[in-house]
Amino acid sequence: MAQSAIPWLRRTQPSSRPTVRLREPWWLLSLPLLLFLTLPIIAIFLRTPPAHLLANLRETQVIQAVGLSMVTTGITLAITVIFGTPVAYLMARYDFPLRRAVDTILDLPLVLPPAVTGVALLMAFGRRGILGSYLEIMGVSIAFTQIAVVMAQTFVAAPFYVKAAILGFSSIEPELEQAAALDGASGRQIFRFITIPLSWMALLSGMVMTWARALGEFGATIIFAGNFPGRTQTMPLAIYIGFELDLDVALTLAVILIGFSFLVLMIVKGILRSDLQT
Amino acid sequence: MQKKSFKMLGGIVVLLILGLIQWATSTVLGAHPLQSDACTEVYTVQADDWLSKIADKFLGDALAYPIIFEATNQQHTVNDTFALIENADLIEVGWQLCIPSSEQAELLLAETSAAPVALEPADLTVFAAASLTESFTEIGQNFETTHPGVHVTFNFAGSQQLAQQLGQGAPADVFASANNTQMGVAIEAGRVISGAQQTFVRNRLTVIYPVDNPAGLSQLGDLANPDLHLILAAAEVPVGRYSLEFLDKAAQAPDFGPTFKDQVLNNVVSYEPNVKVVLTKIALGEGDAGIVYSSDVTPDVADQVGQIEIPDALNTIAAYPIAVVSDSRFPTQAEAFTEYILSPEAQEVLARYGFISTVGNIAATP
Repeated sequence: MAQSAIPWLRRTQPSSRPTVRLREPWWLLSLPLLLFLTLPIIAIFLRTPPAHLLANLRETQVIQAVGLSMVTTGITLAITVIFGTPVAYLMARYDFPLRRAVDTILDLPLVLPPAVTGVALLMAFGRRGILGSYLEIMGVSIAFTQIAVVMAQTFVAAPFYVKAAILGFSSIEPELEQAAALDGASGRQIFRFITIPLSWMALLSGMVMTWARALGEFGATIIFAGNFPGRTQTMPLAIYIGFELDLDVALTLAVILIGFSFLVLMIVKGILRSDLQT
Repeated sequence: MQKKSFKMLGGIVVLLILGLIQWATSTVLGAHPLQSDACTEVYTVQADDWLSKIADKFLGDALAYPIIFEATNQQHTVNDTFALIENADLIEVGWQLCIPSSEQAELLLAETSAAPVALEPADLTVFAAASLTESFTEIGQNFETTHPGVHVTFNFAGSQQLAQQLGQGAPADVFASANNTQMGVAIEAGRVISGAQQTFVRNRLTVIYPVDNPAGLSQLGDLANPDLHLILAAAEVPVGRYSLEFLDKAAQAPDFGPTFKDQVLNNVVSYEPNVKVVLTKIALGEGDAGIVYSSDVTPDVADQVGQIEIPDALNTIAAYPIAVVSDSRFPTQAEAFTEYILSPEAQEVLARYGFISTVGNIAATP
C-alpha cells in the first residue's frame, strides 16, 4: 500500500516496533515532557467530582455551549472540506506563479495569534470593515452572529485540513492517475476512484485536526463574534467566562472538551492504524 | 580623563546645591512653626461636615484636606482647644479646626508631598481593575519617581478575573478591585485580610455610542429602540452587573416603563469579558451603544465616542476598594503604595480620569 507522506503516518509498521523496556534511556528522557502534558489534564479531572459533573451537565449554559460548539464546528468542517479540497489538489498537482505565496498564505493562520485573526476579521467583515460596510448597506450584519463564529473557526482551522490534503494528494504517483486516464476514465472518475481512496487517510487526519482546532478556537471568536450565551458563546468562551463566575461550570465544560477530543482522536487513530496494518 | 573629572566635579556641585536648597527649605519651614495667627480662621465642626468638604469651602480644593488635618494637629501641640485628629475620615461635631492661610497651605503641601520617601528596593505587583488602566499607569510612574528603588508592575484585567487569579495563588502585593464583591472573593480566599481594604474612589456609569451615532441615539429611552446593537459587559464583571442594576431602576421609573429592561436586553449582541472591550468595540463602530464607566471615556477616546449621561437616581455609584495582599513579599512597600493611592496627588490623577474622589469624604459622627 502507498505510504502516506504525513510524518506521523509514515512510520514503521506497528509489528516492527519492539516494546520499550523500562530501563531504556529513551523512555526516561521522554518522561518529563509526557508528565508535563498529562498532569494538567489529570488535575482538571481530579478537581471535578463526578456528581458535580452530572449536575452541571443539566445547566442551560453548559447545554447551550456544547450544542453550539458541535453545530458550528460541524459546519466549519463541511465548509473546509468543500472549499479546501480544490485548493489542496491545485497545490499538489499544478505549478503556477505565486505558488510559494499561496502556500505561505495557507501557513499564516497557523502562526498568527488568534487575537490578531479576530481583529483582522473585524477589519474585513465588521460593520466598518472593507467588505462588511457594503454588506451592512445590503442589510447583512455578520459580527456577533453564528456566521461570525464559523468564519473565525474556518480561518484558524481550515489550513490544517488543506495542508494535510496537499501532502496526501502529492503522495499519489501521477502515473496511477495517468494510467486511469489512458484506460478512458474521466477526470471526475479518476478523482473519485483513484485520488480519494489513495489519500483518504491524509484527508481524514486533516479533517480531525481542523475539527479539533475549531473546537478549541477562542481568541478570534470572542473578538469577532462576541460572547452571547446560546448564540455565539461556544465551549471555550463559556469556560473563560465561567472561570470568573462559576468555576464548576468551567470545569465541567473543560472535562467534556478534553474527554470528547481525546475520544475522537483515539477513534480516528484506531481507524488509521487498522488501515495501515491491512 | 580630564573631561571625566570635570563631569564628576559638576555632579558634586549639583548635589551640594540640591543639599543646600533642601537644608534652606527645611530651616525656613522650621523657623515658622504654625502660630495661631497662622490660622486664617478657626472653624467649629458642624453636623454633616467632613474634612474634604471643609477644605473645599475654605481652600477651594477638596483634595487639600490633609492641610487642615496637619495644621490642626500642629496647633493641638501648643493649644489643646484645637482638636487632635487621628483619622481624617472621622471628625466630630464641636471640634475646633485650624484653617491655615493659603501661604501656609502651600508650604505644608510642599512639605507633605515633595520629599522622596526612602524605602527598600522592591518589585511590587499590583492587580488592578481594567477600568484603572490609564490612571494607575500614570500614578505608578509618579510613585516610582517619589519612591526610588520601588518598581511597580501592573496586572490589569476584569476584577473577577483578578480575584480568581488571587484565589488560585497568583503572586501579588496589592489588589485594587472595581467592587466590593470581588474584594470579598479575595478575602474569602484568604489573600486579603478582612478589614484591610479601603475605598479609594467611586465611579459611575455612562452610555456611549460611536461618534457618528449610526442608531441616532439622543436619550436613554432610545436604548429600547428595535434593531439597536447594544454591547454590555458580562454580568460576571462589576460594570456588567451595574448595567443590569441601571436597567432595573429604569424599568421602575415612569419615564421608561416596566418593559424597558427586557426591550433593552433584547438588543444586546454581546456580553464582553471586560469594560475596555466594550469601549473598543463601540469606538470601532461594531455596536450602536454600550455602557461603560465615565472614567473609561479618557481624552484618548473622547473624540471617537459620544456620551449620554445616566442621572444619579438611576446610576449605580461603584466603590473601588484597595488592599495589601496578606502574603505580600514587600508589605511595607505595598502599604506605601496603597497610602499613595489615597494621597491627594494620586486622588487628583484619578479625578482627572473621571473618577470621584472619596477620601476624607465620610460624614462626621454627630
